Amino acid sequence: MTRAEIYQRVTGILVKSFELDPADIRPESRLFEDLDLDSIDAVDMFVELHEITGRRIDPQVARKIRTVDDIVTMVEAELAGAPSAGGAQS
Amino acid sequence: MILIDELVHFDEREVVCSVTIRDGAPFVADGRVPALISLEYFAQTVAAYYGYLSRNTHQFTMGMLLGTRELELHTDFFRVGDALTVTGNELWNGGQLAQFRCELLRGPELLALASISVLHAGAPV
Repeated sequence: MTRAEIYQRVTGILVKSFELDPADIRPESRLFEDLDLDSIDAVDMFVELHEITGRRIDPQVARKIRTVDDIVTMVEAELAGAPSAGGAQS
Repeated sequence: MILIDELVHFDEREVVCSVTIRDGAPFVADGRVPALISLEYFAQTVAAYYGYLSRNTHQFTMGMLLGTRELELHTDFFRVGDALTVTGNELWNGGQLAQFRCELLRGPELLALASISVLHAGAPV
C-alpha cells in the first residue's frame, strides 16, 4: 500500500467514524485541536486502524500521535513490519 | 449493584460471564428486563475482566463506562428465567482507555452486541 493509499484509508476512517467533512482533513490537521476528536474518539480510531494494519497499535506509539500525517506514518511503519519509532515524521 | 452471576471464562483477551434473570432483581418489572440493560451487563463483564486480572495484586480500582458505539439490540426484553451469556473481547488497550467488543447470548441466539469504551484507572496494562 502506498503512502497515498494509506492516507486515503485513514481519512476514510476519520470521515466515517467521526462524521468529519473530508475537506477539513489535511495531513497536518491536529486530531484534537483541529478535528475536535477527544480521547474516547482516539480509542475508536485505534481500533479501526487495526483493520488496516492487522496488528494492534502499540499504546506507547499511539500516545505520540498528534496529526493525520502521524497516523499515516505509523500505519506505514506497521505495514513495513518495523516497530514505529513514533508518530512524528521529520 | 452487581447484576452478573458468575465469571465462567477468562483469558488475556476475552472474558465470559453468565447472568440468569431472576424475579426481584434490579430492573426486572413485570417479569422482564429492558434489553437496553445489556449495556450494564457488558460494563460489569468488562469490570469482572479487570477484577480478575488484578486478582493477585488485590489492588482493585475504579473503572467507568465511557460510551458505546454500534449498540445492537435484537430483542426488546429479557425474561425472568433467561440464562444469558455475556462475552467481552478486548479490541484495544491504551493503558487506561480500552475498547471491548461485547455480545449477549441466550443459548446460541445473539440478542445484543456493542463496542464499549471504558476507563480503567490504575489497572495493569
